[in-house]
Amino acid sequence: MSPEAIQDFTIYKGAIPASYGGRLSSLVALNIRPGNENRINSMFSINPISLHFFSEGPIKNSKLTFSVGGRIADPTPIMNQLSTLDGNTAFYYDAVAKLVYHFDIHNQVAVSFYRSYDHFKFQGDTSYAWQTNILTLNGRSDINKKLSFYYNANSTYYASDINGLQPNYEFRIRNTIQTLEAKASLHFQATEKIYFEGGYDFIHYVVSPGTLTPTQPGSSINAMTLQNELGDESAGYLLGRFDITKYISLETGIRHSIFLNRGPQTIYQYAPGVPASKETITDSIVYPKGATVQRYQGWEPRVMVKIGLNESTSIKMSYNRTNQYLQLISNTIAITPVDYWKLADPLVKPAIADQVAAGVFKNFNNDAIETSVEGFYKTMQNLIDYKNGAQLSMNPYLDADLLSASGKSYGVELNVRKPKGKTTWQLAYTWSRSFIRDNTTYASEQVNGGAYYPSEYDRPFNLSLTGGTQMGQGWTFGWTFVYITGRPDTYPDGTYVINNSIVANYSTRNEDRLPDYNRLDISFSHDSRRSADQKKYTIVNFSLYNVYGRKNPYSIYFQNTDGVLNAYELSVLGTIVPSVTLTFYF
Amino acid sequence: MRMNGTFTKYILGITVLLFCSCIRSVTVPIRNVQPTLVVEGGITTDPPPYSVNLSYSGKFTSAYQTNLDSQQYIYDAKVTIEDDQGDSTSCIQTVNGTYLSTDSNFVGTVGRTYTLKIYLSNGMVYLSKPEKITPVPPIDSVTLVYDSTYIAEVRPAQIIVSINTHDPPDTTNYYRWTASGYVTRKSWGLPCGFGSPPCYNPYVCVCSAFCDQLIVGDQINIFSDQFSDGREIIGQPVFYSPIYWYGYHYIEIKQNSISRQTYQFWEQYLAQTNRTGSILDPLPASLIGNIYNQADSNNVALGLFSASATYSKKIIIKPEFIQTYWLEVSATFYIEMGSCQMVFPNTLPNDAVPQGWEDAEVINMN
Repeated sequence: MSPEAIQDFTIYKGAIPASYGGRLSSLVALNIRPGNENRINSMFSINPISLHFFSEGPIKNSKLTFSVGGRIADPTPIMNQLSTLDGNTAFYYDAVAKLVYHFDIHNQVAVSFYRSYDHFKFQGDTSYAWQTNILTLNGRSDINKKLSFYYNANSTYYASDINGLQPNYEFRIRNTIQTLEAKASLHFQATEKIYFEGGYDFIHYVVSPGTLTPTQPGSSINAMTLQNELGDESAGYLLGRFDITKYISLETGIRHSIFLNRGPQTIYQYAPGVPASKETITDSIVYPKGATVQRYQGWEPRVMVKIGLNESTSIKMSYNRTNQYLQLISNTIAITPVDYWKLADPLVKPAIADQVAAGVFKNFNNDAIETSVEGFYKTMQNLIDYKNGAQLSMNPYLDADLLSASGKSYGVELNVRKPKGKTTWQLAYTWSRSFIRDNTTYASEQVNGGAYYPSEYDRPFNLSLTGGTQMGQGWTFGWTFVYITGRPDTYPDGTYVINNSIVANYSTRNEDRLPDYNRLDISFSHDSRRSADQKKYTIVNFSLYNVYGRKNPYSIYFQNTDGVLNAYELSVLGTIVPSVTLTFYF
Repeated sequence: MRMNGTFTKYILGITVLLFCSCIRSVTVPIRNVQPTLVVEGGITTDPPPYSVNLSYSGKFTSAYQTNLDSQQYIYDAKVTIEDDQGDSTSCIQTVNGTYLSTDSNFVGTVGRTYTLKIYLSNGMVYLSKPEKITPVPPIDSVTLVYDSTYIAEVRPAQIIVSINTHDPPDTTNYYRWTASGYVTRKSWGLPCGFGSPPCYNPYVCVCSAFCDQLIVGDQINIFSDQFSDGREIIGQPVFYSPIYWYGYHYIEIKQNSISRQTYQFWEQYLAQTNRTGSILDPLPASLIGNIYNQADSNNVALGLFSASATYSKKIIIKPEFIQTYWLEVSATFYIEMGSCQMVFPNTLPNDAVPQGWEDAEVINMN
């Protein structure tokens, strides 16, 4: 989303408030800018492959405000000028808009809309496209000085397309997620030191695992639609924040979620004692529309204690449990392009995470330096892994190709920040580990013999240093340095011959690791403002990405070339990338 | 869902397209693991013998390897193929771990189920899961396309042979096509007769300068009717017949029915052998088919045993459109000095129709 359109965002990593649920990982709560009440502010930015626009302001007497923005990137013409890249296309845009009506200082309502679309095609006969639409209505009404009512209704639509372009077999596979959500909560500030909040959240899910459509009249592809997955998730929560003493505060909460997988649905039964597969189906149960296919429920306790040791030092401890009823299945090493989502059902149980965390926060020199050290330990149940050779696309028997897995992760995070002065900087260092283990009882289906093995996210050493210096006359110098352990990888541990070709054998998963990643970026930007309240100004930004041109490996793969099985390292952006962006504010 | 960070990822992705050509050869640490049994065998409705190849997996090296070390082949196993009627044939080791069935009356039959049994000399017994032979439809017709592109010293221009067939409705069908053929090769030849002058012009010499070379397609051509049940299968490429010189192409195409498991095995084989390091790559995995240890079904072998019904079609392609100037450009890389049958392997004399092609369909390409 356009950065100008974001009012604020909060990242919850350790202690997630009871008002949020539905995901195991960290949470980003994001608010779209409501629009300036006094004047219209606009900006426009351009660089060689993209345009960016944002505007906000009042429409009528400051009661109605708007914000609207969008970005578009179309690098295809540049790509087409490079002859070696024929056949690649790419396109992206997003748009965001928000209208806010302020009845009075105690009552307001807002409508916002977001849409993104991207499409790309590498050389070959397949292209990919995604789109996301979100429509939100939310508002706040202060019932009295202490009690407020918040409400939110939203509708989301996400679609992912795979387009087959091979002659005679042209097709499109689309999978979608639609949600309808309604939330309401009461916020009660009982005293200065006591706060309560309670609410209810309902989400209706419609997941379309796949619709196959022939896209040319002569295509030999048959149309096919997999049955939609329907689900209702409802959750109630109660949380309280108590400033027990000047130095001790407690935030505690409980969330209870219920998930119902709904018909119409056909659930296959598999023979006991053997690995599930299409061949071991013994029966199928057909559930009519609206029937409950499977019910899950769970309590999600959350608690956080903050103890101040003195004015500049505090410690924080937290525990939280989260349940996730919509899970991601991915067969690739990256997060895109081939991702599928699945609702909890009789075979795929909801994922559950428990996390404990503790940290020490201390500021120095009158808050000129902020520091923190936090540790966490997290366990996860019912994660989704999949069998080797699993067919994730258009598979009516996908349940049989999935495995249940457990995960655990732990680590320590160190932050040091200098937020004030001409030069500001931040050091963030994390040492953490992340492991996964398959829970199948069949050794032939287990990865690495059923032992815990490093997950795709296991990158123990993660250091980031960012900073900026105001150099005078509007110039700012910025820099970012990152150093991260390489991602776990799987190298061959043997070779064999099939079809008269040497094939690499991979008998274990993620036992190897890519070389470490490190990179330095710098930028110089010039701000033409002479005073802070100047409305019309220009920012010119010159940046160098990957200053020392390190060839950071994205992956290592193995190919048989004329009888020699070689290892090749693919580097992404293994060179310096210069860029210029002009941004006009008016 | 994709919202935040999408744009950044997108811009990065675009920049990858623009700047990414950073692929280099590297050396990675080598682990040593226990050798694993590797099986590749099958039975078809074609006349016997049927072959089963047995070997052990070896160490991973980046050394030149077109074949296995001899100690990896298994020479002393006892191999049998059994059907669900109680009949069986033993298979005898011939060369380099290749075992051939011995009973000429034991022929693959549609509807029957076959099991491979391997008795290793260390006492371990491996079995295949039963594989049933399902019917296969005939090939309706063949489509030929001339592909004038060539890669100097790698491959000449070629004729792309595609088949058209009808998938039977209401049954799940999986296909694998194999093909092979004889194509004309040209060498510099030898002096014609005793006392003839040496041959210095490859376009003039005619004695021992032509032969037919057997080309076996090494590509895995598979298809599932999962998304096109009961429809026509149109233009499925099955063979790329190289044009080394003027002359006919004698091509045999085999359309095989295969099981879902065999289809998945070859699909996985294609995925694993075509990894490019890109975001589209599947996770690396072993090619485990349907062979397991009788005493411990969790102990599995690499490779597979398949059972197929086969429909064969033989064609003779007469590429009468070939122009001399094309060959002068693309064919010169493949003309070698000496007698044609001496310098090229797997050849026949050029003067007769190869055995078995007498009744083949003749297709003129003008």
